[in-house]
Amino acid sequence: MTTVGRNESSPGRAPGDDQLSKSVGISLKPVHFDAILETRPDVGFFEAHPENYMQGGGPMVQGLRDAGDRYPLSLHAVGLSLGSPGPVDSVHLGRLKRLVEDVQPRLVSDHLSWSRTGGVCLPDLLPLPYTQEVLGVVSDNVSRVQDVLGRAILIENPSLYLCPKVSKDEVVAMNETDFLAALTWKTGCGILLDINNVYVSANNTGLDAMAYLAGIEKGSVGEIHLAGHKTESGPAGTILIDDHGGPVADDVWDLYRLALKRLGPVPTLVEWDTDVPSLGTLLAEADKAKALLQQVLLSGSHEHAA
Amino acid sequence: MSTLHEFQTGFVKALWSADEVLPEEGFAMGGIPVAAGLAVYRNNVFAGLAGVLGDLYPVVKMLVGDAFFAHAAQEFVKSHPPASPVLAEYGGDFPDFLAAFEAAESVPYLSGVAELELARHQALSAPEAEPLAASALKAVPEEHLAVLCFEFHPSVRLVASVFPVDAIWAAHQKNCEKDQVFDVSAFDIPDRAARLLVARPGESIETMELSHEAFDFVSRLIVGEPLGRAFTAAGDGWDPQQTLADLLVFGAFTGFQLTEG
Repeated sequence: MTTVGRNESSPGRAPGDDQLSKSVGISLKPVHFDAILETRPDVGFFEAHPENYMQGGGPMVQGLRDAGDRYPLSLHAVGLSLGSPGPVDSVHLGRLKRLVEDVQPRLVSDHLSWSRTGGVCLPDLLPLPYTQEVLGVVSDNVSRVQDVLGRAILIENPSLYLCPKVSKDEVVAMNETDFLAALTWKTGCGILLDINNVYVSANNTGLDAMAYLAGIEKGSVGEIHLAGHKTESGPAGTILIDDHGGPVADDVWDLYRLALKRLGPVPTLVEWDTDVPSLGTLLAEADKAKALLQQVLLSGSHEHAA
Repeated sequence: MSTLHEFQTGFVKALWSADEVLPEEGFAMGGIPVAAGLAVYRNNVFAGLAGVLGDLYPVVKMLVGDAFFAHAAQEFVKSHPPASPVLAEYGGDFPDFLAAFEAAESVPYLSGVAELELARHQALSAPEAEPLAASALKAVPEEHLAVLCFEFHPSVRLVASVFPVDAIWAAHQKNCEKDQVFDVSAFDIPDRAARLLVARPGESIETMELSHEAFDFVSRLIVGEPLGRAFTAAGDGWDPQQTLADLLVFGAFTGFQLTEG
């Protein structure tokens, strides 16, 4: 079994895409298909969930191909269930491979989570205990996906509402950033750092978002995600829900600034998946990210990767 | 059995049933309570799947109203967990579920309308294919026609109901705003059955109405019966040549094979 290993990518470089490194992308939404073709907006790349384009034909697939003919694409999977023991669902992986061959995305990613067990596929990104056993499971699955696709992928930190501590006898020894670092080292994958998820998880599980960012290995991040969340306050305290349904929060912009300062320019995506606004509103949100990315490029103030 | 497998089995069991809880000691403290965290995941899953059903069956939703639809969707999701991560493929059993759903007995045409919506949904995302030219059969010697088997366009779906589900669907398209409850009794809907072929031979979804005999004929062809046998089985009193010509012009076929007689 050949593996896309750490030693095959250049040292200190995430397996991302250099040409995208200064660009900001937005989610590709079917409601914007026509506006994109008519107005040809200045967008660095479009990102889509491949699971929404696997049925073989129709206007959805055409919309993705149309965007792909004009812009770089990123395919951001939600269904590989990399944290399920046993090999990744080969049918689903086969469909992903066909779509990757069809639209030739610059980036391919999925999440540090699980969604499949006992033949049931839950439409959510469920939390994992960060044990050695789980590291083995996720590493094997990431390697398998990379072998089948013939390329390195990026793995995203999930938004957490629970942080599993113990998997029966095995007490969790790693925090999420250590786990991700070990995963990148073992498989050669990169990290998709979702800043909003860091913020949401920090609130919901009692972590320090700044410490989290400081724990992310420089040079391992191939893409950054930004999105909006909603706040629910009740007897259980304040819960942040990662609903991708509004503008990016001020605190998340602040974390993004810090992340860029530490990591240098990284391709950045502004996600908006529920209550999708006009293309113009989404572009305006992307412009804010673009301005911050430009600032970092101009100042050259980011700490250089070792 | 791995500890991860046990953790995931327990998690899904707790997620799937509102009465189940997760053990507090299994999760890090310092954040929101375990029950509150589980409730978020539970809501993501159930509300997410109900949303998928609502997007797939908008006319059904408006026929029964949001509250009843939410109830039906909740009951369906509980008994039909998704087996694929491709959510566009979720909910194919919903028409059958509605047909057997006691609470929906007073709306007997509901499952038929759902079947039509499902057919349209599936036709929309089926792979593209070039329809067979209407003239293609002219090259086949007449004595071979009886053993000819058609290849159907991948988007073709058949829908049959004892209710005029196509007329109900069409009345909805013309008269209803999104999210408005749709009262069928306010429209002049003919009292008849519906036998339909739904497909997307070109860019848009098209529907062809079929007689009882023609529907039986197409049902046989679509499972691979040769033309001669399907003709004979469909009986007398209709014009099979005209139906065949209509299907060709419609673009229902992509090819044919001549089988052993």
